[in-house]
Amino acid sequence: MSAVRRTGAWIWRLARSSVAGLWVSGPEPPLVSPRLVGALVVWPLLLFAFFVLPEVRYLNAPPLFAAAGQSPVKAEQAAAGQQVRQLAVLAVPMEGQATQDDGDPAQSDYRIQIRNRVGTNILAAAGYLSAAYYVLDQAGNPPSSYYALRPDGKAVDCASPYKLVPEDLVTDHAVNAALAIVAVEKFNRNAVHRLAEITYAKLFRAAFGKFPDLSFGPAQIRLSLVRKMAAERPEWKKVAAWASMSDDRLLDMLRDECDALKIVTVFVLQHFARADESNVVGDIQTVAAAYVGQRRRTSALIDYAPIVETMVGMMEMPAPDAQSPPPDKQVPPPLVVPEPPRSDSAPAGGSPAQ
Amino acid sequence: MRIGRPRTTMDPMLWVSTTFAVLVGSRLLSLVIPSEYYFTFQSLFSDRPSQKMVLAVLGKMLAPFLVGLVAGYLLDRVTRQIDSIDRHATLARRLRQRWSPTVFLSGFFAAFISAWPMIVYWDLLANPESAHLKALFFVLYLVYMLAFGYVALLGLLTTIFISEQMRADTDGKDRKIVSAGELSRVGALWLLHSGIASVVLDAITK
Repeated sequence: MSAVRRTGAWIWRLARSSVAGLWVSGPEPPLVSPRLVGALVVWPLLLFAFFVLPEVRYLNAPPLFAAAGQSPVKAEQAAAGQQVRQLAVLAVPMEGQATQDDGDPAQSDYRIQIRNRVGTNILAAAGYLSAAYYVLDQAGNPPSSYYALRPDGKAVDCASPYKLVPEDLVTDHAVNAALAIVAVEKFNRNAVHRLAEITYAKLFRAAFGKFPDLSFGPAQIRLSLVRKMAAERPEWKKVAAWASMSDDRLLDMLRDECDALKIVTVFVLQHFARADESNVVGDIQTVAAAYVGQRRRTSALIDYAPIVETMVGMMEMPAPDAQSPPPDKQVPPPLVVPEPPRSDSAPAGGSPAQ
Repeated sequence: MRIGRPRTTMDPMLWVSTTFAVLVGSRLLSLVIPSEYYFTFQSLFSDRPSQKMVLAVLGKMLAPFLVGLVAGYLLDRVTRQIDSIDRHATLARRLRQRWSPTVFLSGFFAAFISAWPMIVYWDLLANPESAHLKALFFVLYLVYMLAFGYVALLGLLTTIFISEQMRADTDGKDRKIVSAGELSRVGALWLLHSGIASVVLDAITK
């Protein structure tokens, strides 16, 4: 019998005796008492059962325990002799048509809040922000809030491919989309991951003579995608030149954060130009989904395309200092945007690709 | 004959049951209690923290305290059925060496499990206004977890204390397993931990 089979048989015997020990009560007491095993099954099931219970959601619910004078429903607005009290109305969606936000402004606001927060954290971690603001509007019930983000000038310069494509095509919208896409990719693949990918690719080439078709660099782009982009627009000569570049040269570009941002902006511009009837020009979710090859839209609270769209939306919000906020709008000082160490060797400005 | 400090052990069944009971209780309370009187570990960092911090903390601590009370009642009842020469000594030994550390750790781990998602996803989900205070918040989480442990233990000891007070009249014995001093000490530790955490949190999230 080979060593592998002997080891396999030994592991199987060990696993079988361990499982049997949980249940079989022989002369020796069982390893784990059946009561404890029962508790470990019953308690989690009970806990999950309480999470299946939906939370009761109300429309127009006045704040509980609020003093009568503070209630948003003013009884004195009614005619004399009448007493008017607002009742809490249950938010129940149409059968079979339930979505997360149906008729529940508080739930919708919660989704936006979470996405805003995730997007802000990702952009701040990427180092692509120069300022960030949280604006709370207490005029409404419930109060609403939003984030306004200012992209960093150096990152914007890097992501603007003025020398690669006709200048009139480059828009802030496309640049912001590129910043958001690369920020998400950087967040999900940190510098250590990316170093491991490059090392693997070099080992792969040493063994098989060519690079594997993996995504590389801060923007996580495949070499094949860059060549495909180059072939798509031959009239953009500098972009078309990517097709004839060596793998090493392309890989260097992908590893350079500044170049990677430009490549992503070119990708976004190509998609904006390609919008058909089923697509809206400038639809960030479609571009983001195409970038990562996501075919199915989901309604998950934190999903790639909606988060990218939210990030772009926040970067395009007017800064609070650019408008005069109403008196009931609280504009706290800018959020702390830490300056993260640049994990890539990319220069802050300029691009070797130019 | 064993010499030295008595060995502290864990009761696995009690540990599993009380940990999950605290989690189930917390979930039920979060469904029942209005959000302004209840906080979740996640809501500590939300954009709209509870307006009434003291009441919210008390609401949150209700679950481990009630679970401690129920556990104390059941354990006291079970021990009363033991046909032992010295039931009192058996109860005292088990309480000191086994049940107290188990219930304390149950409260601690229930809080840890509740806070775990936020700990893991801090970089992604934290309020951007407080995201840079990660280390400080993790310390506060730890203090809250200790407070959970103490309040669960307080519940356990309270039941046994009350049970002893009620039986003192009938038994006529003066030996107490849980003294008022012991109860006050645990209560003070709970108040100290939750108070420190709440005050610091209130100060840095203003």
